[in-house]
Amino acid sequence: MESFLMAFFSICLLGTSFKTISSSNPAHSALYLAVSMILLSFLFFLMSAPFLAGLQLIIYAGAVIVLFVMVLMLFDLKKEGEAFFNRSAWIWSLFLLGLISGLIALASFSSLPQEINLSFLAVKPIALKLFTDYLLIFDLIGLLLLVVAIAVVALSRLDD
Amino acid sequence: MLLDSFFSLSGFFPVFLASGLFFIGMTGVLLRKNLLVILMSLELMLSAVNLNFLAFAKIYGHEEAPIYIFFIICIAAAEAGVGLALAVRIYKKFKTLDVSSLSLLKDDQ
Repeated sequence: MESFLMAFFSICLLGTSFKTISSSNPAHSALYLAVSMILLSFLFFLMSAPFLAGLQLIIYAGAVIVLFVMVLMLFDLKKEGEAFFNRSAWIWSLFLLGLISGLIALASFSSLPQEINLSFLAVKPIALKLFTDYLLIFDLIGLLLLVVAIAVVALSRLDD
Repeated sequence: MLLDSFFSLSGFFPVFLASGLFFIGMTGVLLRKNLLVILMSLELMLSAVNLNFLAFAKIYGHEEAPIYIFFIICIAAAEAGVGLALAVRIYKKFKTLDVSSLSLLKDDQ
């Protein structure tokens, strides 16, 4: 059942993320991106990481995509006639995708995964690490968010 | 049974999925002209990196992976904020979001 759900969510995720970059209307792109972020958080949940799934759902689908949609309201965007301007680069990116996937397949055949205790994905060990070993980086992230907030306000109030 | 082993939750399937997602995002960044869609593709690439981190953490048991995923999500949110503010400025100045029209720094020869 779990592998069926995994396959279903994965196929939906690839489809919606492809529609994100291929639809010519940016509003449709934002909505497809929201759906793909929600699917990704389902995948995190299936991979037994509920805390990261919640984080993905709240920050990406809840904050970032809503910000995108709100900024989209500020522009009057005409539909682009052609979404892409270079068709042959598609072939190259598909080729690179095949190459990288083949390399990963080779690596996966050479090293067989062993059974691993997955208790470190729960909330308590993450919080314990975050507030002891990584406390300085956590503070720096907070400082970064403050600087970004000030920068965004300064950018939006800048006079021409 | 074949389906089960291929999509097995501890196996390498999420790594394949993450590489596919990353290449879709990279194609969007390289080939789209609209600045907002480029920013969205950037978010897709960062999410693919998160998925990759989690997949390898499940295979090899790296205990730092969730911390790094947390930091990547925070930095992605900050990057989206700055990128959207810059997009608003660019739209005010140039009246378009087409990145192929932003050639102010280019030498005229």
